Amino acid sequence: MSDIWIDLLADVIPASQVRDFVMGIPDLGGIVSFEGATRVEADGQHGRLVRLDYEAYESMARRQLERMAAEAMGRWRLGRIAVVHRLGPVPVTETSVMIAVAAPHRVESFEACRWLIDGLKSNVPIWKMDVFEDGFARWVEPASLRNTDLY
Amino acid sequence: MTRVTVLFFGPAKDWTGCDSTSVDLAAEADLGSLQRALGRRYPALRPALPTVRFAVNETFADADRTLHSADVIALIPPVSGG
Repeated sequence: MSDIWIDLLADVIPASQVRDFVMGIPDLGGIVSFEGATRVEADGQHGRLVRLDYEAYESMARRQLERMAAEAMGRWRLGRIAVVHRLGPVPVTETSVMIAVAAPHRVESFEACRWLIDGLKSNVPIWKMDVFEDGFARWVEPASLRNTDLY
Repeated sequence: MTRVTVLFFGPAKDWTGCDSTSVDLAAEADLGSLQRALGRRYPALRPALPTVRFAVNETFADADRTLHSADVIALIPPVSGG
């Protein structure tokens, strides 16, 4: 079994499976997971945000995530990494991305998990649209336009 | 002559009105000359060009990258995953 699980799914992220993937290994005592969920927002003109619609350049997104996970394995002493991103519509409160990392100790797990989500947000070809209750939709413009760290 | 395929994702589909196209370039053309050709073909793309990145065969590449026939280029607008 591989120590890295990368996935792009069109359905609800199976959070307990992602967690199980990094659990249960005797020498890995520091397990950290992160989930990003759709957050409600209000727009003066279009009302409440009801969901995000995600799309990806899927083949490249998988490759990017695999490259990043392999790099994380080299930077820190890690035992397991799972990175699962949901595509298509993700309603408010549901998880769009889940990352789980297991290492012998907590410091590596926290650092690697943070590095992975930051890298995903800057260097993995995935895009999302805000969709509001009146049906209006627009592409999200990220706050930080680009990261110079190219893979 | 070099013929490449260009893929458009996310907001780039709105700027071009399509999800892919094919572009003929001079032999030994680089990614910078493809960018200029795309700007001529899709005026709505021009304001966005300084913010986008390009991938050649699924790997980010710089403007001086030489292109070859059958390369698959993707125009990558600022990403917003997560």
